[in-house]
Parts: sequence; C-alpha cells; structure tokens
Amino acid sequence: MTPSGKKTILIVEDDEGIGATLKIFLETEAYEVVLANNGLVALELLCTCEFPSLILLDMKMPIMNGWEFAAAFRAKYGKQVPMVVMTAAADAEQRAREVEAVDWLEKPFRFAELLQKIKKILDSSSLPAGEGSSP
Amino acid sequence: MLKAKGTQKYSIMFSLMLGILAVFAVFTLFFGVLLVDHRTKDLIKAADEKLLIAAELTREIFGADYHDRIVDEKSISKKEFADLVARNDELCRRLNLQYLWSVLLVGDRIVFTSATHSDVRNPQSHVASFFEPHQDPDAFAGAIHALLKPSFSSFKNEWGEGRMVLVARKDVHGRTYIFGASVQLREFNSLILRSVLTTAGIALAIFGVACLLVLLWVRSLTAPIALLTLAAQRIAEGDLDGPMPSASTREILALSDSFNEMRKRLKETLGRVVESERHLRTVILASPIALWEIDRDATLLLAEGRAFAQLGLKLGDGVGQSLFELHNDNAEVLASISRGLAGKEFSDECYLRGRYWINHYVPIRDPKGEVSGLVGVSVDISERKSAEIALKKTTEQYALLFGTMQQGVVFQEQEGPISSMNPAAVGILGFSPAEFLGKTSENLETVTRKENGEPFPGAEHPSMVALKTGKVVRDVVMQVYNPRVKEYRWINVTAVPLFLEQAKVPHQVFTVFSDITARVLMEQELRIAQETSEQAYRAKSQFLDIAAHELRTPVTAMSLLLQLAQKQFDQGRAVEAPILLQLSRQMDRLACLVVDLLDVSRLERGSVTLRREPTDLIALVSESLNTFALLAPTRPIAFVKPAQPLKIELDPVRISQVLSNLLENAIRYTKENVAIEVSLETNEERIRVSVKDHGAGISEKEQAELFKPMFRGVSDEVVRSSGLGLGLFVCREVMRLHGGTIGVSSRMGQGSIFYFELPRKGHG
Repeated sequence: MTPSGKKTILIVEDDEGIGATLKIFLETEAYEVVLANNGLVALELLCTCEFPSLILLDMKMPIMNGWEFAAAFRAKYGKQVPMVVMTAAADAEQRAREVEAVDWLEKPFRFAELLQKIKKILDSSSLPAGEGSSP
Repeated sequence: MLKAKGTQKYSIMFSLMLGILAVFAVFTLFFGVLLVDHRTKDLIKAADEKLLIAAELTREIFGADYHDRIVDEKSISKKEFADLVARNDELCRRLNLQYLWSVLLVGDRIVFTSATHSDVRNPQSHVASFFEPHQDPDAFAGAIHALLKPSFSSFKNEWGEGRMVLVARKDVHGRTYIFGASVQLREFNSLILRSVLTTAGIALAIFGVACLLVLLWVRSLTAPIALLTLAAQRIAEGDLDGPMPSASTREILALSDSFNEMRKRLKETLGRVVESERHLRTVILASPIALWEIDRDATLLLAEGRAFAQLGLKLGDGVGQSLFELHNDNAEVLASISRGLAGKEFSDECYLRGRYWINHYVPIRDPKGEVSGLVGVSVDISERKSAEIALKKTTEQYALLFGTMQQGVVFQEQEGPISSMNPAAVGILGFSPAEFLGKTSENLETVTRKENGEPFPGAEHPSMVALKTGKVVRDVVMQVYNPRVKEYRWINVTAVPLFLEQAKVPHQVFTVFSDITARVLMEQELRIAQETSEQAYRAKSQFLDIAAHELRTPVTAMSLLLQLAQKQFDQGRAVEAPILLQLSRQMDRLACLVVDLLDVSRLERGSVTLRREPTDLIALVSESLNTFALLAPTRPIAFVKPAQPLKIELDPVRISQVLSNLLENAIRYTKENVAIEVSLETNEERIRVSVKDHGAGISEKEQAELFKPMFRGVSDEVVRSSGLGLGLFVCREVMRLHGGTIGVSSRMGQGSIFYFELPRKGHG
C-alpha cells in the first residue's frame, strides 16, 4: 500500500492500447497502477515499484508470457498475491487454473466487471499488502 | 483190406502162413531131391550088378571060346545066331533087361557077334544080324581101354534113362571082344514120384501142425490188435469216449496207450474244431456278408450270412435253385457267375435288389483241376457306397469352391511342406504350383514383409505357428512379393490346423488368405487424406483461435477506450485526445487484419489479379527500407544493391507487401540493434532479393511448413509474437503469380535468409 493509502495493481499486458486504457481507468478508481508490456519487464519493475496487492495478467505476450511470469513470480514471492487472468482465448477458466489465478476475465470485458472482481478480491483479502518478502 | 500205393497189404495170419509154406516147400524140395538121389544111386547100383551078372552069365553060356572060333561072317550059321538071339531075348525077359549083345573088333571095324531084338517081347521087332558093323564104334572106346574091368555108363533115349555095362576081353587070336548089357530104367519116374509124394505127405502133415500152432499164436497176438482196430474204427466213426482195450504184451500196451493218448488229443482237437466252427458259423451268421456256394450248374448249395436278409431272403432260401434263374433279371450278375464258373478268381461290384455289393468269386476245382463249383462272398457296401457318393458330391463341391473362390487356399503337411493350393493362391502369390509343392513357408522363395515393412520370418508364418501350436491363427496381415506383377501384395492370412480324430498334433494346416492390396491402398490413401484433412482442420482451427485472439485484442482495446470515453463524457469532461488516438490505431490494426484475411481468402480462391507496370526494383526496395527505418529507427538495415537500376514488369504494391512481410518477420524474430541485411543480386535470367537476419534460425521441419497458410512457428519467440501467420503464404502466392519463387535457407541458432526470385523477362 502506498503512503497515500492506495492499493497497487500490477498490469502485465503487451497490447499498448489495452494496457494504457486500463491504467487510466483504474487510476480514476483510486488505485495505484504499475504497467508492464511483458513478464520480464514486470519482474524488473517489481524490484523498484510499490509491491502490488493484485496482478492483472495477460497470457500471450512476447519475450515472457503469462505462464512463465506466473511461475517466476510464484517462485520468488510465494502465493499471497492474487492474480486475475485476462485472455482472448476461449478457455479462460482453464488458463486461470494453470497459473493458479483466483479469477479470470474474457476479452473483451467491461470495466464494471473488472472493478467488481478487483473489489471483491481485495476486500476479502486479509493480507496487508506489501508485507513479507518485498525487498 | 487196406490198400496202399500199388502194394497189397496182407493180414499177419496170411503172411505167416505164406512164410511157413515157403519154408516147407523149400525143405520138402530139398529132402525130396536128397531122397530121389539116394534111391537112384541104389537103383543104378542094383542095375549095374544085374547087368554085370547078365553079361558074365551070357559069356559063360556062350562059352569062353565062343569068339575064338569066329573067323568071318560065316563062322556062325544063321540058325545058330537065331538061337543065340532067342536065348538072349529069353534072358533079357527073365532079368528084365533091355539088350544083351556082344561085339568083336575086327580090324578097324566093330561087328556084332550076338544081339537081342529091339523089343525082347516081340520076335518080329528089329534085330542086328551076325557080323553087322556097329554104327557107333566110339561108344566102346572106354571099355576097350578098361579091358577086363567092367565099364558102366548111363544113357538116355526115347524111353527114358538107361544103364549099360561093357566088359572087354581078349580072345585067343588076341582080338578084343566085348559083352554088353543094358537096362532101360523104366521104374525111375515112378520111383521119383513115389519119393516126392511121400515127402510131400510128410511135409503137409508137418505144415498142418505148424499152421495150427501159428494160428493159435497169431490169434493170441492179433486179438488185442483187432480190439485196437475196432477201437480205432470207433474213433474213426466219431466215438471218442469208449475206453481202449487192455493188452497182453508190452508193445501192444504201448500201442494202446498211444492210441488212448491220440484219442484224447483228437477229442480235444475236435472239441476246439467244433468250437471254432461254431464260432465261425456265428461270425458268418452275424456278419453283414453273404457266403454262398454253387455247383458247376450254378445250383445254390449254401447260402449263409446276415446279408441275405438285405435281399429279403431267409437263411437257406434259394438253396437247390439255380442262380441263373434267381438272378435272371440281372445280366451283370449272370456274367460274373459265368466268369467265375469259367475258372476265374476275381472280385467285382454289382447293384442287386436295391443294394450295392462287392463280390469275391473263388472257383472250386476237383482233383483233375476242373471247375466243380464256385464259392462267393458278397458284402453289402450300400452304406459305404452312399457315403462314397455323398463324398464324391462333397468333393466336387469342394473342388468347385476351391477352384473358383477368390481367397487363396494352401494346404501344408505336418512338417510344413505344401501339398496343394488353389488357382487363387497361385494368382495372389505369383508362383507356379511347381514352385510351391513340397516347399514350406520357411524355404519358399517368397519375400514377405510385416505391416510395418520389416521382414516376416518363415517360422512366424501363421501356418507354421498353427502347426506348432495347434491353434487357429487369425487375420495376420502381411505383404508378399509377387514376382509376376513385380510388386508387393497385401494379404490377410488365417491358418487353421486340422486334426485327425483324437490326435493332439495337427496333421495338416489349412491356410486361407485374401488379397487386400486394393483395400490397404485405399485405406492408406484414406488415411493420408484424413491426416491431411485433419491437419487442415487443425490448422484452420488453430487459425481461428489466432484470428480470434488477434481480433479480440484491438476489439478489447477499443471497447475499453470507448468505455473510458463514455465515462469522461458522463462526467461532463471532454474526451481526452490520447484516447481517440488509441482508438484510431486499434481501428487501423483491425482493418489490417481484415485485409490480410481477405487477401488469403482471395489468394486461396485464385481471384487476385496483378497490376503490373514497369518498375525499378532497386528503387522499390529502397523505398520500403526507408519506410521501415522510419517505423523502427532502432533497427539498422544494410542494403547491398547493383549500381544500375533494374526495371522489370511487376505489381509494385504486391512486391512491396512481400518485402515488408520478410522485413517484419526479420524484425519480429530478432533482438533490437541486431543488423538486418538486404541484398539484390541479378544474372541474365533472374533477380534475387534476400533478407538475412541473425535470429534463432528455423528447423528444417518448420522450413517445409513455413509457406503454408496459417502457419506459425512453435518456437518461443514465435509464440510470443502476434500476427495471423498469413504473411509467408501471401508472399508465396504473390511470387507464384509473378512467375517467381520464394524460399528460405536457415540453420538453428545461425539466423535465416529469406529470398524471392523474379524472372527478368516479364511473366506471361
């Protein structure tokens, strides 16, 4: 959690249009947003930025895709950060299970839907954000 | 009386009698001869004495000087000589002599000086005259020589034996004179007869006694033999139970014992014979045969055996009747009977009264060797015959099936040699029957392969396995090389072991196989077609996934941007410019995707036409590179080109599209700041444009698939990148339309060179 009390959300999404739009929108909903255009960039950003309370993860990305990122992230930081998979694939649920995500969003989706899921996850989460293995 | 070869056999008694008789005859003869001889000697002695006395007496009566006074033939008168003869005759008669005479040797003559009549009782009979020369002077030689000693001699004349004495003396003149007397021994024969009769009478008496004794002895000896004979006769007549007579002598007793033993043995043997005959008869009666016998006139003498019932006859029916009459409706049977009666031993088959028979004809011959009858054995073979007919029918059906069926059939014997096969087998395997027969699956010169193309060992052949295991081996698929058609045929083989009765090991194996080549080839084609279609389906499905993903991404972005714009609008704010810019970009992207899809669709349908115009290819490539330099300023691109412009007929838009695709790929699959090299080479015929990158390289397998529609490499870098994967397919089609080619040479880890070649002389 930031000093301003906002919760941080990490968005890993290669498509610029989607990533930027989500960032603008979530910031208007009073969230701190960190945007990475692939898994590797996301892992690099995690070293410097505020530790996220939630990760929105695209699956198909160049350089490092969603699966690789999830595996690397879990190996390094454990399982406490909930992930939500965003995918254009038909088997969104299957992909969510593969990376042990708590929920998923099928592209295209509505902001209202995304917001609802984020609020639900963050409200039920008893874990204080940023605690633990943040460097 | 018993008879044997040429010799008559006599009873003991008769033989003995004959023997005794012979012995007595010999003895009688011997003694008779002795007696006769003895009596004859006595008689001669007596006669000799009488003759000497008579001769001496006559000389005394004549006077010792009688001859002294004889000078010539006139010395004695006829009257005196007649008196002398009468006196001599009288003396002869008295002394029962034949002749009395005297002779005188005068010179070389011998002349009568006295004589008697030739028949002393008949004075008319002949008498020698005085001084008549004797006709046989030699008769006196012995007497002259003996001188004074009487000389006796025997003679024989027409009246029988006779005895003569001559006594020679000298007269005063020194002349020799001889007195002689002879007697005819008339009583000799009667004497001998008497002696013989006496001897014979004695011998007969002795023979009678001897015969009586012998008879008694022989009777005592032959009585037990006779009893034994009777016993033997009883045995001969079949009475084997009567006791054997006891015997008086050891030899007879032994004989009797032997007879008894023989009787017992005979009884046993006979018992066995009777038993076996009864058995044989039972067998004949129970056997499904007809045993019959006919004489030379074909009259039935014997008819036995159960088979007669098959003819609807009772045992013994027809006996006494002629077979020629009984079977007069069956020429075949009559011919066989005639043939048998002609002396031929043979067997035949006939059809008689609704049944089939096999007949054995055996002619019987009398001692002269002539046929006296015929014995026959007939066996009812109707069941066998009907089985044979059924079998023949089955065999014909089988042969028809065997010959016409499309499946190949091969029979192999226990150790594997092929014993028969049908024409289909020959056709499928392409070997002649001669090349087959006797071969096994192991040494047959066929080349067989398994389904997967590996060699098929002969020992694993279904037929060999079936022979070894005794189990059916089903539906084994294999390939066999047919040397006639010079190609492999696919066959489906099933081998069935065949067993005889209860045998545990098969004696044959029946292998049936179908030529499934057409089916297999069809299946293969079908499988390839199926694989191709499945591949196409998978590719299409994959493409749809990719397309959906690629389309969803701009749609998602646009959707989110619009929602944001809506929110800003709802809040009464102006929509921010970056949102609109993003919206525009996403829209372009979407449009590009749609154009790509349309391109592919049109290329696949062949509805793309080129817009050719004379173009400088060098200028065209330079232009494209400049555009890329603006879009991706961080990618250094080197361009190696000829100095002179290269103007050819082409569709500049499409060629730019191809080049862009190759450049996009190069950029997409290589890291930033790594140079991309573009070169343009030319010769007389072709122009070649190459784009070389230093990326991961492409495997050979992927290279082959690269230019197919909707292909996207599976390597990590490919997966990460976006795009529909239609680029290279579009490039290939564009080049094809230009009459050019497109290709790639690449090695893993060493980058790739994509190139396209265009003909210098415009296409078409």
